[in-house]
Amino acid sequence: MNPPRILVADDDATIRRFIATLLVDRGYEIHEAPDGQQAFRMAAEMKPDLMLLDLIMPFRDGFDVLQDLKRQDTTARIPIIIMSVKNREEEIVKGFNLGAEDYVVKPFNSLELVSRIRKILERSRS
Amino acid sequence: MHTTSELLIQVLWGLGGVLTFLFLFIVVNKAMRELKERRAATLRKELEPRILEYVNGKGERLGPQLGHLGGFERSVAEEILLDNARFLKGTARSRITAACEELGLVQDRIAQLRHPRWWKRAEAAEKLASMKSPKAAPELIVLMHDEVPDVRMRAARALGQLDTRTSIKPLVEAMQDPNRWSALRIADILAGMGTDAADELVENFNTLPIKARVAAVDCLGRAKSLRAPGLLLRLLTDPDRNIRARAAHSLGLIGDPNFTPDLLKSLSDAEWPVRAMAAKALGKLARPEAVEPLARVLKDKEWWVRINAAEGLRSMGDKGLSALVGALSSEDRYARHAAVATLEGAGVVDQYVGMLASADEKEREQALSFIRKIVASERTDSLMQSAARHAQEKVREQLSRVLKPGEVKP
Amino acid sequence: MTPLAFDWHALLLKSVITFNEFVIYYFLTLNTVYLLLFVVSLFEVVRFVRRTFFSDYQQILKSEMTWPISILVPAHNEEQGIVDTIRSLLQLNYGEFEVVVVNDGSTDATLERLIKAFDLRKTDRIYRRTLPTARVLGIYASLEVPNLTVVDKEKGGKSDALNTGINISRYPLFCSVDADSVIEENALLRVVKPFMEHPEEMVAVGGIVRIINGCEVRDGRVTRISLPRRALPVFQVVEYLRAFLSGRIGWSVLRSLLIISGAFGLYKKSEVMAVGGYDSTTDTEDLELVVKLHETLKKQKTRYRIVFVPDPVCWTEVPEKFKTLLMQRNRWHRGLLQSFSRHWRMLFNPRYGVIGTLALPYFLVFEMLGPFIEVLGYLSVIAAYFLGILNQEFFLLFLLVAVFYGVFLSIAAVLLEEISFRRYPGWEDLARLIWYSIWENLGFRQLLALFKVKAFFDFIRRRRRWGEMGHKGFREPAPASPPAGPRPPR
Repeated sequence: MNPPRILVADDDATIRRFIATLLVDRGYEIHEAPDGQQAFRMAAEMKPDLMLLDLIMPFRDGFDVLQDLKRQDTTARIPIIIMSVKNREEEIVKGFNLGAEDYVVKPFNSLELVSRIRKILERSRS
Repeated sequence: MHTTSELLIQVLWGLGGVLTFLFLFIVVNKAMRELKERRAATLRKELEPRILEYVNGKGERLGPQLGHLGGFERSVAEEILLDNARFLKGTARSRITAACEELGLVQDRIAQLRHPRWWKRAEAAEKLASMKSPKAAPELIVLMHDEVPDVRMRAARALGQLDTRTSIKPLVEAMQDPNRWSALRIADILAGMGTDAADELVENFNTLPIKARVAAVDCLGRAKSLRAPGLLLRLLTDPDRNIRARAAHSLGLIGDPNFTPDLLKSLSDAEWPVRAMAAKALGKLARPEAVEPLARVLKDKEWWVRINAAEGLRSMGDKGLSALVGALSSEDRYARHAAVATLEGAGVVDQYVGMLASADEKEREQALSFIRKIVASERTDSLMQSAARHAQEKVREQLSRVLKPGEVKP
Repeated sequence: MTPLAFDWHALLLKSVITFNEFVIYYFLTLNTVYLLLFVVSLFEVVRFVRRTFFSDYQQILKSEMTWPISILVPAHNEEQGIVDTIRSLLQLNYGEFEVVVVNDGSTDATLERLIKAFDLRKTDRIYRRTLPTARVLGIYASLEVPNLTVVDKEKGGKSDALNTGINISRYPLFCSVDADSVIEENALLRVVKPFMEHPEEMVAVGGIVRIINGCEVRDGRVTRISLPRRALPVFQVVEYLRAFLSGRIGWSVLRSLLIISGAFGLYKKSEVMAVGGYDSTTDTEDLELVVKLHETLKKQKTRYRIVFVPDPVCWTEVPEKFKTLLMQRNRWHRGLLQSFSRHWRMLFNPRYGVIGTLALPYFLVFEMLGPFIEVLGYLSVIAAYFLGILNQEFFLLFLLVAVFYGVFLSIAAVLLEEISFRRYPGWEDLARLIWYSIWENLGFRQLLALFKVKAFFDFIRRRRRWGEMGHKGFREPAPASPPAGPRPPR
């Protein structure tokens, strides 16, 4: 069985490396995107099983990427977890309204994140 | 003559020498920095995977996993640990704190808090803030009496991060000294520290000087303390108008609908900032009994009060929106204008414009009567744009008819 | 007859020699002042680097206490790049902010492009007309992008557009951004920091401007920084380094910062409104605003601060062609003279503190009279040579104070850049910077002095011509006579 592929979109290289280490050890295949444009491109090309999406990224806003991915049939099914420092009510609500599966505020709890990822992958597999 | 010439030439040589020195200094400095960075990058690649594995749960202690570390290696390890600490909380974060204590990094920085150079002390406080080890609290409290303001402020921030019970008192004390401390910034730190800090602030409120009180009131709006509402409600009748206004604002942030009666009283305060903040807060609380009073306040002579009342009504659901529609026929032109602008922003006007295309005649009549009210208020920019560019011809037609001058009397 | 002719000759020689001595003293003084400013700047930059931690900006980003900012973008005939500029502004890293674009009577498709790109709808938004401006034709908002507002108005010039933006803006702080500048993503966090540290006192904060010529720009972001290829812009890079890093920071420390460059400054709205906003009758509206602020606040005896943030925040294009440079410097210098002639009462007046006693006299002597002295100085050295009275020591001394001292200062500015912000990381760029530092003092500076002399005469003749910068920009030809602009309310 192929390991689930997760795309991590964040302009902060440290976070990407951290999440990569966190998830690779637990049997996931990690791909990284350093900015909004690449995030969209890679998601459209490889259609990951799950996507972790930062909001504040160069070249393209996270919300923009989210919206466009949900509009396209080919990518609309990809479950997306938003991970952002933005923690205001309006932003969280907007994230869910645009179709995100979950919204994790930074600083985040890494163990919780793993559980959320697992749960979402289980759900989408069935 | 000759000696002056020689002197000049010597000076020129001297200047040339200084320039060459400067040039060499730049080059050497740059080269050394690049070497150092390269070395750090290599070390980072080596150490990071092991550190991250530890942070993510492997092993009880980090030390044995890294082996012996030289001075430079320890500083790179510290950098890696703190860089990751930024965005983590929970178990992973605690493990980072434990690692910092275990590797002696916390101890080193605590010792650095007494460094003779101020920027070193500031740096130490900054790093300790990221490390979050409660062991640093006593020394940081001492540092709050440092002579350099920058250092004091960093110590205060660090204490805020440590978030222990012992941090709270010195911070509240700092608020009592407006000459040494910016009350606003201390209040900001306290606001992020949770219930205990807010409780302490409520208890000591009367000992605070006036400027600090305003900051404290703001802070209580954000921090969650069970004792804050009582104090804030009392402050709604404080002699100082800024306190009354900020108290109203904070009550709005806390959001308990039971505040409505007191805030309604503040709607008739003599000072406009208080009225404006009361209107804003009432909008947040969204109780039906506030609708009428807010609609009345749409005629207030102060611009800010009117705007906040309109925005408040907008966020109060159907009842609020109907109050705004009602205000379209107010004799007061400010109220009319505020109502139109808010209804536009809420998308209500668009809704009614869309209804013009409905097959149901009743709906169309409803829409037309609404639109006529808007035209009568003389605020027709948005309608005119729709009349020109709306997608459906039926809509455009009807709108143009209504907008013809003389169709509707203002 | 013969004694008379001999007298004339001797007189000429004597005056040339005396003047030459005076010129030596002038250059010595000028460059020593620069040196002092440089030393002050050096300490301040080092202190800034030491006391700034990256986490500070993260704090500001997350804090609820952080003041929201209104970004004003005056635009005239910017159809080419306006949508990209606004898109990149909307992506700035900051908590709460709005972008207010003021379309100042554009004759091209600026407004249409904006309406199309952001799905703008006309609104009946209410605002308060505190500052008098030209007629506003419409206010547009976007449902998708709630923090974008576009104002369409009749043409009134850049100052008028900015005043309109100020009227319509919502937040207590505003900054003005040229439609062709690129703002760094953390810029707002950096310039708001002084406001967060001294919220009551701070009135305006300037951000350093860097030169974008030669850099790679993608989607409104600078992706690679390098020096321009052509010589003229590189001279300006060196000049900017010296003027900004070594110069303005020094003045900022001395509490007498006079110029916040037009490309980036963050102001407290209430204070700007109190002095009547921007003035349409000057060529450099930003300088005039800052001088007005200083004058008014000093008169009121309020404690206030106007500082400069040394960390670069904004990238702007500089002229690549000789003629455009001439027009730009001409305009700057005329603006300086205009502001000067308006606020001459502050000169040497201790009531206006350091501004009156140090900064303004400095400008008077070295920026206004200076170019004349310099140009005449060079001419008289040449005259001395032809008259045969130029001796070796004098010439060496002249070279020393007029050229080498300057080279020293330019290279020192490069050093300051190297130890602090290092925006030009490459070795080749460093080498070019140092090389051009030499020639900046051996041709470029002299050229600028000539420009300033010409500008002075233009000012006298009251010609106000705005030229094109060879690309889209907020430059349009002004009427032949200065317009009777709106008088600010007192």
